[in-house]
Amino acid sequence: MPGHDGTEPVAKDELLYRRIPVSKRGYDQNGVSPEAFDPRKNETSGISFFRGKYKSIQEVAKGKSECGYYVAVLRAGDLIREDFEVVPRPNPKDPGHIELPALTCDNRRTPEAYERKVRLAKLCVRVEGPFPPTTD
Amino acid sequence: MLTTELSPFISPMVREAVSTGAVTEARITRDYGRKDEAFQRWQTLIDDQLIEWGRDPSQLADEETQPPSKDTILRAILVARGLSRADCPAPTRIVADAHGGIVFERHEGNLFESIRLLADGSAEYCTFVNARLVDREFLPPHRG
Repeated sequence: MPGHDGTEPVAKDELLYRRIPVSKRGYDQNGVSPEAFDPRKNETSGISFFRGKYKSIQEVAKGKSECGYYVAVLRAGDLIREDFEVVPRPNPKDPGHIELPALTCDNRRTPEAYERKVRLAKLCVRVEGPFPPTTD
Repeated sequence: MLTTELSPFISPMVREAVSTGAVTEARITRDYGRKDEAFQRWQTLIDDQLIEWGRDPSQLADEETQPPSKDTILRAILVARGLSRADCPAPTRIVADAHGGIVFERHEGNLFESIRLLADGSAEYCTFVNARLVDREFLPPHRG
């Protein structure tokens, strides 16, 4: 994106995406489960989201899980209003990569982390998919 | 005499007769109402989800997360059967977490409850009210 390398602060009106494997049942007719925001083993500095201005929902949904993926959509302004720090962490593969340092693999069993997961589930504005698995 | 070995991956026998109008207009079987609804919901979760997961845990594999082991799925089936028999309300859903655990979730209004069966054999019960954690109980792994 011209003039942007992913280091610019996240604006309140930006949409953020997080992938949810269909097989784990983290989304159904009752909405999104807090487990969709359970930090993964590699999320040591914060759980990951992708900025909609850098990556489409279809690109975020790419992955090899047998049953495919949903993509949860959240609004950056909602997270900021709920006191989540939203930090750009671009990398060469994903300039739109961001993290929430308040929720990591290491602190995931703390009471605060449990509450943050429940709050994130409530902040989802919509869920897209399911998208089929991809091989690339 | 040959007997079939009991397995958690096989559904138990049905609890009661199935109501039909084949013989009389009026149903002669008993209606358990809401209690029966909860039982059916538990049974659907056990049959359609947990037994299916146990049949092939690899379907839960993902490049970024650890799928529940067969042992954890078996434990979830046993817990689900126990809670169902104790007439506990059925969960809203059962979810696999990112670390090989299985979570029973129940939402009712502003109340959210979860029972997490962790991969190491321990379990944890949490209650949230308006997304605030108000109760948390930890059960260490059962030994012996």
